[in-house]
Order: sequence, then structure tokens, then C-alpha cells
Amino acid sequence: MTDATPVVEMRNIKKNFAAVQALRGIDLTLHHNEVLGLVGDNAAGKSTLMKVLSGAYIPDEGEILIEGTKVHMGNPLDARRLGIEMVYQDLAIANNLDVTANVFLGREAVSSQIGPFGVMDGRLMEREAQRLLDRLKIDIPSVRLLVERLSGGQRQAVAIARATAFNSKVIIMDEPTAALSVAAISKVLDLVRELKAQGASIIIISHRLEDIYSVSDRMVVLRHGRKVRDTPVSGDIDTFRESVVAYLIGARNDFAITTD
Amino acid sequence: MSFKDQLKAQTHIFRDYGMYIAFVVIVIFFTITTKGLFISSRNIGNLVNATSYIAVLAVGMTLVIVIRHIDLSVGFLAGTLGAVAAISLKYWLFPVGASIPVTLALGTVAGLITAFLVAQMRIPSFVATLGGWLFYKGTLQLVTVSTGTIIIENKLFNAIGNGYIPDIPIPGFLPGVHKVTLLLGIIAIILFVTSDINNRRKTQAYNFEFLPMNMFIIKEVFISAIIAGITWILSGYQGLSWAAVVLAIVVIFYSYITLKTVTGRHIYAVGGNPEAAELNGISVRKITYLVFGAMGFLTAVAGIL
Repeated sequence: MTDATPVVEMRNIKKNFAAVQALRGIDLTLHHNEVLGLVGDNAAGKSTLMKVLSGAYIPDEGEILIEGTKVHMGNPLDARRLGIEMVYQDLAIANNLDVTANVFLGREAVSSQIGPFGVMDGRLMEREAQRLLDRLKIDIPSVRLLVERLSGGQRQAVAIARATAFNSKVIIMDEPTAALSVAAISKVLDLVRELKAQGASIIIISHRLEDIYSVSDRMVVLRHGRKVRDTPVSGDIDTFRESVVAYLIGARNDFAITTD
Repeated sequence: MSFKDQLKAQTHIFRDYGMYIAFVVIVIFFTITTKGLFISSRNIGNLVNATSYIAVLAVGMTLVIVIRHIDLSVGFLAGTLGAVAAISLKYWLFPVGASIPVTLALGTVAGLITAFLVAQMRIPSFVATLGGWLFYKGTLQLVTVSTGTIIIENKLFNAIGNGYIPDIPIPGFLPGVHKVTLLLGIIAIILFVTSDINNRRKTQAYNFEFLPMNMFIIKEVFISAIIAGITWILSGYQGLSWAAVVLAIVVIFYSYITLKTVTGRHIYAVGGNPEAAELNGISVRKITYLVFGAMGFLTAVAGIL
């Protein structure tokens, strides 16, 4: 896999918020059809790094390459145009709209244009939304259901479905299993595996090491804005957890030489 | 499945149509307490004429409330704009063709000023429009201080507020009944039923859920009966007023925009979750300007009525 061009390559990314150095020079690569687990304690810089990748933050230093081409992203729409989709922790779903409307939010299919108003092609969107849910094996009885009537797991599924709806290259999931029931968590993880089976490249942030262990191919640990571990996920869960915790709390660091 | 079970399965329809049911209950109640006077053609005709400006305001306010704001200033703004229209006709000697567009433009500008305060200055709409309420109250008193009640002689302008649409007299056929109103009502029913049947057929073709046939027929008959009833009552007096025609145009236009267009969908998305809307590339600021601008425009329409 290493010989092919990685789908995402972030080089020496730095980001400061006033006096706080949130990211102190992070390199991160994501290969095609790979699930990358991103872990770290609170304030380690996971979310900041992903916000840089999804265009919400502009890095102070460093460069981002998408499929080998250097890109500049000024806002989330730029990132989306490049095929980077983010599933936000707080879901970013409008509860008063139905499943179809949420999947197509901001990208409604238009059948005709009357002056400044685009007329929506409602049936086309419903059919596409249904097809998408079927393809991802998401269990929601009707695409016409209002999202407020869905369970937490189903809402997460809608948010993930939206991220995959438009031929995205990279899907970033920020804590997709937080605040979900055990049954819902396993469904979301199944969905991640399904996406990988269909060829998606995914970065998944989670506090739950079991989740990372069960779906990821590779794992990156961040601490205090630096990368301290970058390794394939292997071995049994107990040794995996033990070693990760050692990196999380700062007992070990694979990249200690690069410290300034 | 018994009919009762089917009824149970369709309870959300009763929730959706709860307003209509409440409306029918109110009509029946007042008809009984006034011994039938309430439902007389004359009363309904006057009622529609007198309240259409409130209905126009309500249409605009619905969208303002959808995007989680409120506009308290519309009452006095409508009054002020009405006064401006009247003064421009009577004292500045504007023709109606100029007075109405000027009033509508002023209303839109007023709405955009509110939008500026809410979207740009981040002032809560309750506070901003409470200020507007006081401001327009003062303005209304200022502009009418020298004139008092303004009586307009312009026939065309008065017709919009108080006039009725013309009738074609057919000797011997239904004397005392407004034929044009009746005709419009029949057209409305035919349009409603055919478009609903079309819609149902297309939905079936896509294999989506649809109303069972008996419920569908009940719904069609029920709504057609209401339209027919209102039409019959209105045509018994002087027919449809111009104000009601304006109201109908506003309602049809707004429901089309909100239900069928991308803009409408975005308005509802902003109401449901502004952060989510913003993250999905919808400009909350733009939508706020649009909704308050439209509110200002409709306030001007209401002021003219």
C-alpha cells in the first residue's frame, strides 16, 4: 500500500491559538481504502487536526496534499469540493427535516429554475436517499421520517450516509460512537466496516479504544499537539490497549527525537 | 384491518390537520351562539375583507418564527407604511402606480434594516424589533400628526383595500349570487383534486408510502367541501374582495417557495439547526436577510390593504 500515492498527506502541520500551540508539527498520511484510528487525550489536538483537514481551520504552517496534489482550503466547502467529508460530533443534522432533506442538505437536486428559486426534485432525492440507505444497509423504515423521531444511532447513520452520498474520497468521523447505546455503537461500527468494504478511506476519532481496535487498520496517537505513535493495529486487544495508554499518558514516544 | 385500526394508524394526519379541525369547531361554535348570523354571507365577506391584512402578516411571520426569530414591529410598521401610501397619494399627488411600489420598497428596506440588526449586529430579534416597534409607533404619530385620519378618494387604491372583484351579470341565472367567485371556487377545487391525484399516482409509481384509497377520498372530499362552502358563502354577498385575492396570491406563492424550492428547504434547515445549516454551506445570514426582507415586503402589502 505504501508505494501508491496516499489519498491524504499532511506535512508538518502547525496551528496556534494565541499562546496555545495546539498542533506542533504533525505529519499524517491516509492511504486508499484505509481506516485510520486517531486517538489522544483531551486537548491532544485530534479535533483541531481534523478541522484543519476539513477546512474549518487554516493551519499556520505545513501543507496538505490530496492524492499527491497540494491544496489550499479556506473553508469547509473547499474541503467538500475536494471530496473530504466530516461527520461532526454534534451531528450537524436539522431535526425538523426528514431523512432525505438531511442527506441532501445544502446540495439539493434541482429540476428547474424559476428566477432566483431552484425547484427541488423531491422524488429523485427520495429515491436516491433510499438507495443510499439500502446500499449502506442502514435500518431506517422510511426516508420521509423526521430526524427528530429517529434514535441516536439512526441519526448518526444519517450523518454518515450524508458524508458518503457524494463520492467522497475521505470521510472523517469525530467521535461517532460517543453518546450511543451499546447496540447502536455496534451498528455504527458495522457501518464503518461496510464503508471500507465499499472502498472508502476513513479517519475515525474516538475515545473508545475498543472501537478503534475493532475497525481500524492503522492508528495514530497524539499527545500535546505532537504525533507520538503511528502503527498498524495488530495483536490482541489487551496488549493493544496497554501500549496505547502508555503513549496517551506520555510514558512512551516513538518520535521523541523530533522534539525541539 | 378494521377501519378503526386504519384510523389509528393515520393519527399523524389528525395532527397535521389539527388546525383545520380547530377552525371548523370555531366556526360551528360561533354559528350556534349567534344563531346562524356568523356564517351569513355578509359577515364572512366582511370578516375576510377585514382580516386579510393580518393573514398576510401571519404568512411572513411564519417564516420569521421558523428561523427562530420574532418581529414585534410589524403592526406599527404596517400602519406607518399605510399612512405613507395614503400621504403620497393625497398630499404628494403620486399616482397609484408609483405610490404602491414606493411603499413596497420602503417595507422591504425596513425589513432589511431589521435583518441587519439581527444578522450582522447579532442583536436578539426580540430586542431589535421591540426597538422597531417603538420607532415605528413614533413615526406613525409623526407622519399623521398634521393630517389625522387620511381619507383617500382614489378609487383604484380603495378598491385594493375594500373593493370586490367584478361580476359578469347573467340575467335569470342565480340572481344575487356572485358568479365569478363561484367560478373561481370551482376552478380551485378542480386544480386541487387533479394535482393531488397526479401527485398520488407519481408517488405510487416510485413505490413510496401513500395514503390508503379510502382515506385519500375522505381527504379530497373534505377539503373540496370546505372550499365549496367558503366559495358559496362568499358569493352570496359581494363576492371575493381584492384583499382576499391578494391574500390568496401571497399564500400560494409562499407555500410553493417553502415546500418546493431549495430556498424554502434552506429556511427550514436554518430553523432546525443553524450550525448544521452553516456547516452544509447554507448562509444563515443570507437566509435571515431574505426572511426579514420578505417580512418587510408583506408588512407593506398589509399596510396597503
